[in-house]
Formats: sequence, structure tokens, C-alpha cells
Amino acid sequence: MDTADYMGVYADESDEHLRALSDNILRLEAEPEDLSVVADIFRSSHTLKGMSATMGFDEIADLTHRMESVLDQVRHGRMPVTRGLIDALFLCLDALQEMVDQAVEGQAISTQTAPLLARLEELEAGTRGGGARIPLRHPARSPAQGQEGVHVVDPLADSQPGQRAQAATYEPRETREPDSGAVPATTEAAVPAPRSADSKVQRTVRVDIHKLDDLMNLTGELVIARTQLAELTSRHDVPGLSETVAGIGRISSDLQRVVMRARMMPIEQVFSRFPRMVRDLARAAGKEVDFRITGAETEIDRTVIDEIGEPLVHLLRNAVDHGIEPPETRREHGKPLPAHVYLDARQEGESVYVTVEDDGGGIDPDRVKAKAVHQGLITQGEADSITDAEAVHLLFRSGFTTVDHATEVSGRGVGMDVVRSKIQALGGRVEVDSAVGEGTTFTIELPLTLAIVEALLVGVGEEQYAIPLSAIEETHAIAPSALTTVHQERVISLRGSMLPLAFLREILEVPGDPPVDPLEIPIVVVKQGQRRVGLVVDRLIRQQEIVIKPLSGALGVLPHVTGAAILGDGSLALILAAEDVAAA
Amino acid sequence: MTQPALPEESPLGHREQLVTIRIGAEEFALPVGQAREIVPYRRVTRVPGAAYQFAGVMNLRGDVIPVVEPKRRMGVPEREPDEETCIIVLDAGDHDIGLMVDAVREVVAIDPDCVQPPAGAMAEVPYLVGVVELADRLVGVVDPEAMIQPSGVPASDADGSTARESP
Repeated sequence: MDTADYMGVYADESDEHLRALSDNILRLEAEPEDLSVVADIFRSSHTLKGMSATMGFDEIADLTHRMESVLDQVRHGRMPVTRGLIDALFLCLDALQEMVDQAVEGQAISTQTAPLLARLEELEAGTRGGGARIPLRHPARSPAQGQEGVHVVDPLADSQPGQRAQAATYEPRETREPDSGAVPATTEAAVPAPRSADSKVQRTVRVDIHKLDDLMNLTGELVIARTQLAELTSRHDVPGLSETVAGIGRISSDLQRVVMRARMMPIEQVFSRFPRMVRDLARAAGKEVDFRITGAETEIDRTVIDEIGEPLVHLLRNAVDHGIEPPETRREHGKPLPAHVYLDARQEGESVYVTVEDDGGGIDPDRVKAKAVHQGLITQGEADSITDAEAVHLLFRSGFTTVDHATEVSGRGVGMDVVRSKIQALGGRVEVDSAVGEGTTFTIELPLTLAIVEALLVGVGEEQYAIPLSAIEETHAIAPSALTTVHQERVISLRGSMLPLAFLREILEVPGDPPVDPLEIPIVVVKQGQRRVGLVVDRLIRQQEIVIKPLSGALGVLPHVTGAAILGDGSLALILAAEDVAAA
Repeated sequence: MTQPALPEESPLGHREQLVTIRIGAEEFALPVGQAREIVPYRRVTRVPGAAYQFAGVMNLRGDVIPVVEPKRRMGVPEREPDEETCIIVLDAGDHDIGLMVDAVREVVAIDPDCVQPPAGAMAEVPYLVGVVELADRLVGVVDPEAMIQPSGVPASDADGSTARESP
């Protein structure tokens, strides 16, 4: 059999099973009495074993085989669910992931499974002597369980009569010989057949993601060609031409929508690795954390799936490491234990909101201010005049870092500008809401579909820029005489309140001179955190759909633009990071 | 500085093909194999805040690729593009990068052994990997990869002043 043909399927399916394993081991840790979870773990492991054996990945098959053997004991109530068991299963999972990756990459499998096999065997042997059950929910035990190394089941420890009774009914099976690591992994008869697989018949096909990408790129080009066609049409008077072009326009819009839908995936793809990560982080930091995920079924463009993981890791890591207080502190303050960290995704209109919420210590605006002044980001005068919400928002300013010590300002400054720039590159925004002593919520807003957005084209000198409509509040044309200067800041009065202005020509260092004696000055009002800023341009060109093309990382860190759009005539307009420009 | 990736010499006596280009008043050569394609000049859009050596980005059949103006780091005055101006598209790992040159002159076949290491002051020029004698003149062989790098500063250091938490 030519295994190469099946490698793609193997990669996909093993991925699914590894994810299911991870989810279910976590579930088992939370509910050690729920033996149906054990059955699920058993099934995933069994399927993985069969697939791997078929592909000739004996190391994977051997390890899953040994896992099964242990799980079978647990499933039949002959072995308790212990912290040691959970730890061992997670280690097995890591090893399996590594081996599957190696196998899929076509590398030789180099993971050393011998220690794991021995550990599993040890666990299993422990049962025979009547293993000590460590009830996971037992609160008295929990602090000690934060330590590595409590995993070995001591046969001499307080064995429970119930366990003994069950152990007595246990019958040896031929596959559980001590040297069973060498037993061929394909002996199906030795293990019960898995329960009938999901009975849901799905009318779907697996499509290589690159084909979807190609499809979307082609659709994008179709949109560009359509725009060119529409421009040409306006110059020629051929009967029926404009109707035909309009028809093509409708069809290409529909096509685009369909392709976009096809690229959407549940955000669960990203979320699935977090329970394990948060668990490990919490254990490492000695924190007690109850981590909940909601809305994992929310669908989002696959480009976001690829990019959103890193910022979320940042936010979750900060929540566990710095947001959540140590258990003693929480007890002192009468806060509930375990602490809560919530991750939620939901769709509202054309946006997807992802929130990371913790009930930890919150962010102290005064300390953020002090830090920002110290780092020269704002003056003392500004620090005194801004609101707490604005102060907390300073976290996202590039350059705001807590270089000296990670726990300063609840450690929240670290890498937040990176989080924000990543989200902005996706056309999204991130907001923070925090109350000292009560917790912090980060809300990420992302567009449902990414590659195509409605934008306003503006001109500055000879250059054109696109501002996504999502960032724009309104546009105005003001008389030059309406411009005044307050505290060295140029402002206009708009409906009775002062609107600070940002001159794109200066911020973007556009070559050439500003228009001489313009009759009016066009202004694009954008949101910048909590405040509004008027971007001053030379002219408003038109509103149009643009296809976002990413800019190469080779260009360096670009503070003001997030991508480029190809216009109808083949020229490029850079897409402004409106919020950053306004903050400059 | 290492030699650009010249193909192995075949038993039949391999000839290496070089394309000669003009940047400012000087003529250079680079291995043809390193150029993905050569396109006539097209509008390059300036990117505010981009690293200094970049003239901007251009539209290459629907892809937006960065374009390097090598004269910036060579200290040669820039000039308005004309009908001779070309952009050499280089394969820079996961993306393409364009190199703006004032003219593309000819493709010549040489014996790779004829490429001499740069000597004297030329050895100090980071993008020069050799010198080759062509008909009546000496031409510097450039490593286009080195030409598109920012001068002197390793890319990782450009923004290394702030400590950031790992991943």
C-alpha cells in the first residue's frame, strides 16, 4: 500500500483524535468518577492505535496500546483515577503529538517512549497491589497536588476496602503481560470493539485548505477585474453592457460570500489547546483556576484561526500568571477559590467578539500612568488629566513595556502592544476593561470575513490610502477658518465639543506640499480607544470594496499601515491602521 | 561572505550564466538562477515607516511585494525611473522581493572558476561576492540576498530595545 496517499487523511484524523484525547483527559481530571469519559479516551486511543499500525508507525501504536491497557483497567473500575494517571496520560499525549508530527512530516520517529511505557506499566502494576486512590476533588489534597512527582501509586498506601473488593473480581487478560510493549498493535481481538462511531452522517468532503485559499485569491482577483470592467464600462456606451457588468457584479459578490462561508471554521480549532495550557500554567504558578470556554462553535475565517492563537495565548498567560492572585491572597480578600478565567466567542452582526475574562486583581490605572510617565510615553500633565479607562488603555501603546520586572502593573504591560498590532493586522480591535480587585476583561473584535472590507479611499498629496469603514465614525468638510489651536494641539469644534486633529500628511511624511488655500478641509473622524480623532486628508476619493493583501514582514514594523489593496487600475492603496495613526 | 549558490560544475564543463545590471554608474553581475524574473519598472507605492532600504511595494500580478532601492544603502543618488529601469524579482524565502536596477544589460555565460574573490576595498563591501572579467571590463558579482538586507544591522536587532515576554 502506498502510504503517502493516506498521509493527509492520517494527519487530519490523528489530529482530531489527539484533540479529543486532550479534551477528554481534562474532563476526566475534572470528573474522575465519570467512567464514560474513560471510554471516550479509550476509543480515541484505540482508533489512533489502529490507524498508526496500518501506516506502520509502530512506536505510536505501541504507546497507544499500552495506554489502552491501562485505560481498560480504569474503565472496568479496577483502577482508580489518580493525579498520577492524569499526568501520565498527558505525558503520553505530548509524546503522541510529537510522534504524529514527526510521522506526518516524514521524519523518523525519535521520541523516546520507553520511560512512558515503564511509567504506564508501573501504574498498572500499582493496581494489582491495590492502588491508593487520590480523589481529585478532595480539597485537602489540592495544594500538594500542585507538585510534580506525586504520581506514583504506592501499593503500601492506605488501600480502600472497596478497591480491594473490586480488585478481587479482576481477571487477568492475555494482553497484559509485562512485556506487552512488544505485542503487535493490531491484535483487534484482544480489545473490545469501539462503540459504533458517530452515527451522524455528515454530507461533507475534506478539501485541502490551500485549494480554498486559491479559490479565495481567485475570487479576490475577480472582484478587482470586475472593478476594472465597471470603470471601463462607464467610458463606453454599448447597449446592454452596463446591465451585463452589473450581473457579473452580483454573481461575483455571491461567489465571494459562498467562498467566504466555505473558509469559516469553528474557533474551537484554536480554543481546544487552551484548557491544557491553562491547566499547566496554573499548576506551574501554584494558582487554582477554573477555566471555562463558551462559544467555541463560533465560526470565523480561517486566516483568523491561524493568527488569533498567539494573542490569545498572551492574554490567557497574563490572566493566569499576573491577573489571578495566589490562593492565599484570594483567601485573605475573601475571593472565591478556584479563581475564574473565562474564554468566550460570539458573533454579533458582521463581527466576532472574543473575550478573555478573569476575576483576578485587575489593573491599577495609577500604576500604569506612573509607568507611562516614567517611560516618557505621556507627560505628568497628561497623566493627571486622563481618565482611568484611558490610563488602562495605555497598555496597548507601543513602547509601553514593563522592562524592569514582569509583575509591575500586574504584569499586564508585557507584550500588549504585540497583541494589539496582531489584532489590528487582522482588521480587528482590542479593548480592555478592568476594575481593581475585581478582575480584567479583554475584548477582541474581529471582522467576520477578512479578506474583503468596505473602505473609504482618501488622497494625500499624490498618495492614496484606504481607511476601513469599520474604523470611521463620520466624515466632514470644514472651513480652514474653523481650525484652532488649543494647548499646541490643533482642534476643531464639532457639535460643541473639541475634536483633536491628526494631519495624515505629517504623520505619514507624505512628500510634497499641502494644497494652497483650500476652500475646505476634508476630515475623517475615527475612534481611538475612548476618544475620537479627526484625520485630516487632502481629498475624499470614494468608498469601495477592497481586497486586503498582507504586507511582507521584511518591510519592518509598520506603525501606520496594516496591508495593501489593489485598486481597479492595478495601483496600490495602503490600508491605514486608523487607530494607530490617530494616536501618533 | 559566502559565494552565491553557483550550480555544481558538470563533467561536460559547466558555464554559469550571469545577468549584468547597472545601478547608478556602476555595472554589476548576478547569477541568473537567483532572479525569479525581471519585469519592467511599474509604479512603486511608498510605505510610510518601512525600513530604509525599501522604495515601497508593487503589484506583481495580484501579489504585493516589497521593492528594495539598492542605491539607498550604496550611497548613490536616486533618480527618476525611466524606460530602462527594471525590477529584478528575487525569491527571498517565503516571499518575493523586488530589486530596483537602472538597467539590465546582457546575459553572459562564464566559467565559474573565473570569478575572483573581491580584493582590497571591495572585500569590505558586504554584498560583493566576487569580481569577473567580461570581454573588456571587470564587473563585481553581487549577492542579491545581501543587497536587500538593511546595511550592517541584523534584522533582529532593529527593534530589540524593548524586552518582551516570550510567546
